[in-house]
Amino acid sequence: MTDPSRIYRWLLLVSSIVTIAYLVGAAVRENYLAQWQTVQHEYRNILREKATDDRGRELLAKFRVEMKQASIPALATVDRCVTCHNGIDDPRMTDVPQPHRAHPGHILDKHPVDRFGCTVCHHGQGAAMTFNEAKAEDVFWDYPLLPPELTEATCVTCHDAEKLPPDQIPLLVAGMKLYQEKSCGSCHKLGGRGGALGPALDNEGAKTKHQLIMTNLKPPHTTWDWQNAHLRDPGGVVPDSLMRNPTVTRPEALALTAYMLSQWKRDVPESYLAPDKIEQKYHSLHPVPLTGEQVYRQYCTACHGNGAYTRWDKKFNRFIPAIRGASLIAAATREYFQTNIERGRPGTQMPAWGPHAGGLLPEEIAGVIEYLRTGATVAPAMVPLILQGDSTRGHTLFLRNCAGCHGMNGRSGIAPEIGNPVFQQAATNDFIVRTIRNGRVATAMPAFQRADAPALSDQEVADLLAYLRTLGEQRGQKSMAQNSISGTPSGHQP
Amino acid sequence: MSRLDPPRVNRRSFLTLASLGSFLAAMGTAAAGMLRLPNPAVLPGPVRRFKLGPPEQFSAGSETAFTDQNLVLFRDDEGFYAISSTCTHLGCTVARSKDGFACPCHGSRFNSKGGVVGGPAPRPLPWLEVSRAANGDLIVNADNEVPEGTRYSV
Ligand code: FES
Repeated sequence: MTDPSRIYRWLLLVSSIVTIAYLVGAAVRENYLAQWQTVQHEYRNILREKATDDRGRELLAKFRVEMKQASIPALATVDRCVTCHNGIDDPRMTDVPQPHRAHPGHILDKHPVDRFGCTVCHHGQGAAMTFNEAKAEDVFWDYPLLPPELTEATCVTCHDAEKLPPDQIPLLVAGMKLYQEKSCGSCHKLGGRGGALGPALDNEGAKTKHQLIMTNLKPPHTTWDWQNAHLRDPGGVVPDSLMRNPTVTRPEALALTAYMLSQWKRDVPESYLAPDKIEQKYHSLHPVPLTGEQVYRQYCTACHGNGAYTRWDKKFNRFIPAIRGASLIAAATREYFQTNIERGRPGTQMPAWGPHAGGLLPEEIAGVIEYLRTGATVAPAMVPLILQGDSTRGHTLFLRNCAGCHGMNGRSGIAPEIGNPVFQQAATNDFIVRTIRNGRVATAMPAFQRADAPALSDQEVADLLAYLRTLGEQRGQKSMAQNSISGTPSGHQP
Repeated sequence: MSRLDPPRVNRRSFLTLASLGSFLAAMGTAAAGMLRLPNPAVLPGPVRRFKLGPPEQFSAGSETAFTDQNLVLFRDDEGFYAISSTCTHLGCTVARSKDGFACPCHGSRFNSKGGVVGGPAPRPLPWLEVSRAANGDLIVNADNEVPEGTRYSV
């Protein structure tokens, strides 16, 4: 009969041996077989093969298997990438497999690793000792390794993109052009210029994945995946986004992604900036005015299209006025345009574009007004309206004829806001009367006094005008104003 | 029991020896680990290997001061050598004088090979290791000193 405790002794023996073997194995793996050590042994073999001349032999003799790093206090970075990328600045290493290969192009000639490190351009976790950790696409690293095609986005940290050779930064060049072509500036500010409907994009590239809504994306949740997907389908990535689909192709989305990633006000020491970057910073304080047409294309077309027709906007749930429509430019004065552009329409999607809001220069606003008014014909003289109006009767007429589109108080309708304070200040009586009488061609606004079928009499137009003018008054003073203004609109007649 | 049989180890002394042995083994490994601590694999400081450019740009008989790197690179008929320009007294930057180097702080003077000729400096200015990078540029490693008189020929 065997001793029952025997089996336990065996168990103890076996488990102790297994544990000790495991510990010894771990120690060997940690100290002698780490990924980077294996890589460096491989590299030493490559060096040996290539040691055909004196310098090759010298490099081989000097090579030590050890951790290597570029530590750059000025950039607050310690990059150990060179521990595995040993051949990064060895011009002979073009025909060897990664990670031993030399850096492509001649970029390192002007950007030595000792001075710039790696992560300032490539991002990623510089202190990592394995490739996966260096890539750092997990949730705990803000700026994971950029995909090779997007790395050019970081060039603008120290360079002015417009001064770099375009073939070196193809995506950025395309992205910059698309940003203007697609009129992104209509809604987004960049460098203090642009609309106010969307967020400003000045520091878009500095955003981390935690600042973006990732729930609708597949992992890995990188900021460039987000940008890419969001550019193709804003509403699908960010529910309730007001941004319309910018109709971009896949390569175009990638180019815009690179451009977005390049928007990063990153603080690097002055000594790292290229001279053109310093110049660019200076010139951004004194921008060269754009022509009227350029302004219109970059800052107006996203909403107003070519401006000739009114457009129903599904996202805004209202009509967008035809600001280059024939009847508008015939009736409206320069001042009307200027007030509306400089001050916007508060409370609607139309932002203010004056120097302190949308950042357009006075010359540019003047230019864009000229552009809007090209082709304007002198409006035929209008039979002046000399009748006195009654705002109470006007109110009834307004409810019957206008409120359906313009809203109960001339606000929050689907058509332009007649009750908007800026409209009230900008529009002359003549302009309003003309518009009621003749309507607006190519929009939903009908003519209320056509020659063939007069719908409103002159008296009714005068009543309506009297009522409309009460909309411009302060809310609290409404009833008082109504009394004092009734019957005097003809006094405003130009 | 024959005389050739090994002496019988009793259970108690076996256990004592075994536990003592594993204790010593554990302490030994831990001590070995600790002894490695003062000698880290990498230091946090900036790299002090300076690439100074292709050797052709320095003519024979020339000397070039690199102020950011605190060294002077010489080339004579036998080859290149680099002398640190950090004073060995308290670390001021020495200036080139007529026949060597002079420290402005406490007046140490060195000859043109870095040897001390006067003042409080305790040691000669170190000669630094010169080598070449893979692309052919000269490299001075300010962390590695070489004996005076060492030349690097290309
Ligand atoms: S530091 Fe140079 S002499 Fe004191």
